[in-house]
Amino acid sequence: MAQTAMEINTGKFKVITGISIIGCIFLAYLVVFNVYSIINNTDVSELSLPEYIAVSALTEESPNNAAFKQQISLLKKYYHPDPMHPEYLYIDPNVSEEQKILIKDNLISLGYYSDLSSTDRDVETDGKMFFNGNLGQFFRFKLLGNLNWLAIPLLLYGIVTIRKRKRWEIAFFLYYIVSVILIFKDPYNYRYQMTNQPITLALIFYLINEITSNVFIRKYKSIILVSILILVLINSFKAFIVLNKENNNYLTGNISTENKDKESQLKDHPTKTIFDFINNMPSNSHEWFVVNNLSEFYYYTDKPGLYCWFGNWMGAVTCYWENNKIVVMNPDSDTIDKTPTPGINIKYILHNTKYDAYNNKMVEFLRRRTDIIYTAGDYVIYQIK
Amino acid sequence: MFYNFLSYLILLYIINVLFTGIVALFIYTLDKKKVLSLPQLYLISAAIAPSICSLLIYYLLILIPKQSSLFYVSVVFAVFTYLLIIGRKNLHKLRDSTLTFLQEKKKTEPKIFLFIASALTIFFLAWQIIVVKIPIIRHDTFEYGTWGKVLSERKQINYSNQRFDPTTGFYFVGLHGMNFPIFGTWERFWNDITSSQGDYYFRSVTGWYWIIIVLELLYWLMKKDKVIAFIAATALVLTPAFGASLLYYHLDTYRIAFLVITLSLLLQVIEKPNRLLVLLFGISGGFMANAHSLGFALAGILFILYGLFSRESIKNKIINLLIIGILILVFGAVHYLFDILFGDVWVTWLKLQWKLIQESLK
Repeated sequence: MAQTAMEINTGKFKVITGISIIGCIFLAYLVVFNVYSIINNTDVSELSLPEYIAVSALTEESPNNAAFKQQISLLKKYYHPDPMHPEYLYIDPNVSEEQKILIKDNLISLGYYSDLSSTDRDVETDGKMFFNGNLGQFFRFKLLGNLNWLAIPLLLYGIVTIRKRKRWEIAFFLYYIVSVILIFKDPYNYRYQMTNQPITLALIFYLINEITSNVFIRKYKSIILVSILILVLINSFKAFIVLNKENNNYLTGNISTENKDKESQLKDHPTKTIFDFINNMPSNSHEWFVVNNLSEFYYYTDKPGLYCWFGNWMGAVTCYWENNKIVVMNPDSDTIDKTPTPGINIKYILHNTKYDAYNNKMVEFLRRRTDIIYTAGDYVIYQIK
Repeated sequence: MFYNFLSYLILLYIINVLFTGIVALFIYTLDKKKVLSLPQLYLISAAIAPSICSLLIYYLLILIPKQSSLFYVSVVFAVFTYLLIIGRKNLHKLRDSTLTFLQEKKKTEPKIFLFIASALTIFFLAWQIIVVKIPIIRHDTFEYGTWGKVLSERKQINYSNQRFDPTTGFYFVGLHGMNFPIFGTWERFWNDITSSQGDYYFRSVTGWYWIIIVLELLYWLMKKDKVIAFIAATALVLTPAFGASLLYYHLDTYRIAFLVITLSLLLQVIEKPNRLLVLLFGISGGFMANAHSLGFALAGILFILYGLFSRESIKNKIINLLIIGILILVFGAVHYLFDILFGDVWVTWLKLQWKLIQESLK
């Protein structure tokens, strides 16, 4: 008891209690936030704010919020249809996933988003770049769970109490800080942010265990742990639904494609269908494909193909060749170089419509200069005219 | 289909079970002071064994290229047989300790034992269903798989111009080591010998390292509090990106597993200086460095931390740092050295970075 009384009077106890109370409040907030978004089916994390505003504006379903309405009216002011793509204007009141994508594309074409890759990675604005990107290892809730942020206050607690720490604990904290800085430097890829995931959880739960061993907090230990578990379950459930939708039901094993090909179940997956077709094409080692960033072409076939990327907004399509890049097509000058390097005769183009949004100009160019000879799911094989 | 699956299961058993057992036996033989607990021994061995196969193939494709698939597979088998011969005297001892450990756990902690055993069984079944049912769909995984395919056809690693395949036009964009793609090469060698087809083994790598990460987290936190350990493991499994990684067959779980193991060995060796732990730290660090260039950077950080925090005398510390450095190099980081010396990918990348720095300074 004497030790307990001493602990009450020490600054250490106050720090621990303070951190715990703040942590509990934040946990409660996250529970409410997650439950609310599930009940209302708003999927806040799924849509970025401009998208949400755009959807609401175009469907006239504005939430009862003055600030939100103001944002919508602002957006309506600046949101003009793209005359090149009138089909993007029609928005059904029951907004489907495809239509949301169209809205996103249209916003990109208006210059609202500067970079589709950033948009796809959820880092298209400065704020998102910082929280989802640089600090994504703590705040990218949708992909990395909603617990990692706890590592920040807990690490601070660990540093405050550094004097009583063992050597290995100090080394552990130091590793963690340095690695966080290293990962901070690459904000684009969530996979890099996942690097420390088990270590972050180990740090969080190691220190939670330590804090909840405190005689005054011990009685709340089970409440804290159950709250954490509920939080994890809610977030995972929500994320599973969102990710499954984003991946065309891939996670539930029911892969479908955007054009809803009814045959596209696992056994007749478009990947298999398209490469069965390519493998059965007459073999001619001089007839090359131009392959638009589809590495599966090389995995499933032995046909030759120039590895390229059509992702530039404008300008020429360049392909890898040895240690250089060679130009094979240029929508601006309306040219295709069928023999860009000796021994190669380009005849076909393998493309996937999922890349269309990256380069609308290229899509137009392909429509003009090629014939479609086969499609499977999102895959398209063009033959150059 | 059934024959291909059977062939894969045999390969999985040989590499992931039999070779893991042999590596465990070898480490157990070296571990005179028994600094490693049995779960730790098996977890480390489970991670290291498949990677040793990849690393051997890597060196063989550099040093003895253009041989038959049978040759490469035979050499790997010969190396593991040699390790088995070295450790054979301890085989019964390890088997008995393992059985005693399991029986004791079953008796003293029956619920936990049952839970872990059931969870592992369910995981194994789910893992196999995923491997068989879900094809590779991710762009990067295809690139790694294709590089494995190119190496299996070329039967040679040539650093002078190694990322481009003029026959097919394939260009491997990655900067990282080749152990992960070589899992695909190794499987294709096996397919050649057994006249089977498929990429089940390549797909299975992610799941194997996925469960190792979960068990590592569980193992270390259970030392503190069992309930907390299970909640932490649940949180990890339910982390959306981590859970989904089981389906994407990417190299993330492979590189993260080695990070977790290397870090745990570092923290252990800081508290209990021991030469075996130093060796394992270096080996695991090498595999981590090879798996991904981020792992290479992290291996450097862990190497420095060892220098800063080790309790050894200055002389021993320097010797150990040398050992760790050499092991990191031999077990994986050598790829980056070869690439800088004989290749051009890293040099090009460094030049690009330098140009970007110069532009940002203007």
